[in-house]
Amino acid sequence: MNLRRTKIEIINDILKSIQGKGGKIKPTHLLYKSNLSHTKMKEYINELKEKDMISEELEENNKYFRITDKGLKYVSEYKKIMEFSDSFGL
Amino acid sequence: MVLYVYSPKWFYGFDSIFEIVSVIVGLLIAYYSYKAYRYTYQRRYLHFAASFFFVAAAFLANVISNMIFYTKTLEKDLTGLTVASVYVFKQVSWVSTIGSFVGVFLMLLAFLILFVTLYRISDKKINFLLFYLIIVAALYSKHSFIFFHGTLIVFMILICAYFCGNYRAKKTKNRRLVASSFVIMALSQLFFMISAFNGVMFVVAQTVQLIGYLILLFTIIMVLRK
Repeated sequence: MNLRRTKIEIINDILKSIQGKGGKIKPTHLLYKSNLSHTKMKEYINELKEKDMISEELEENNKYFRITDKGLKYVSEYKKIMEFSDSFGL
Repeated sequence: MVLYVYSPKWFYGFDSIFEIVSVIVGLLIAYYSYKAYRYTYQRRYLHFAASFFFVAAAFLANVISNMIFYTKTLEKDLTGLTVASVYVFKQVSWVSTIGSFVGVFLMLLAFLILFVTLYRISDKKINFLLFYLIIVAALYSKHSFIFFHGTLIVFMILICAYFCGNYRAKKTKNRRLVASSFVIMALSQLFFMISAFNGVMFVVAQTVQLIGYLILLFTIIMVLRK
């Protein structure tokens, strides 16, 4: 059994964590929920921002990550993508 | 007169209908794989999409080049004045030659890309060599129907091995359906080879191939319904 998550699983976990917190999450909370090191989380966050799946915002001097419509769409499509990928062994 | 089609006369047009179903299945898989690429940015989904797009394009090229022989107008022309029938024959043979070669090349290319994607062959030198061999195979296949389907069988055996291994690793319904569809498609290639000597086997081959693609269509529908 492969215990390591694939990249798309990690991305899904991050986006689901943000979605689960009402669409907005603090970086520290995301670090705990995503189960990643700080360096790795930073890499994924940068990638998700580049792909417009999350946005960064400041609220009352606090930094938050917010899930975008594209990110929400990814979460809903994720199950189908995983099933497709699994069926064809991709 | 050179034999351009292996289909029995009573099956004219039906093989094109079967192949149009394969075009639809190919395009559907290509579309969804491309969509998965847009979400994941992982190139193997893009390559997978490309391979099934080329499968669809190959079948479409076949349909177009074969349909020319299935029109009643052509039959009448061929039994008319020698001059008129030769003119029509030359036109048809030019279109059919190009169409057949394009169909053969695209089909071989499609399965090459599928093979390289599944087995994760990333070495550019190896991919270049395989691409060159595909061109050679496509050029030779112009003269040998059997060689074309024999080459496809080789690709399909390797691809089937991958999907069967995928099923053995985790026995899910969808994995079994995918493995089964490719095994059936590989079997159809064997029947195509035999059809060079027996026209009825062409019907069997087309039917078996259609069944393979229908199973693949059913699998995709099961995935997209989730």
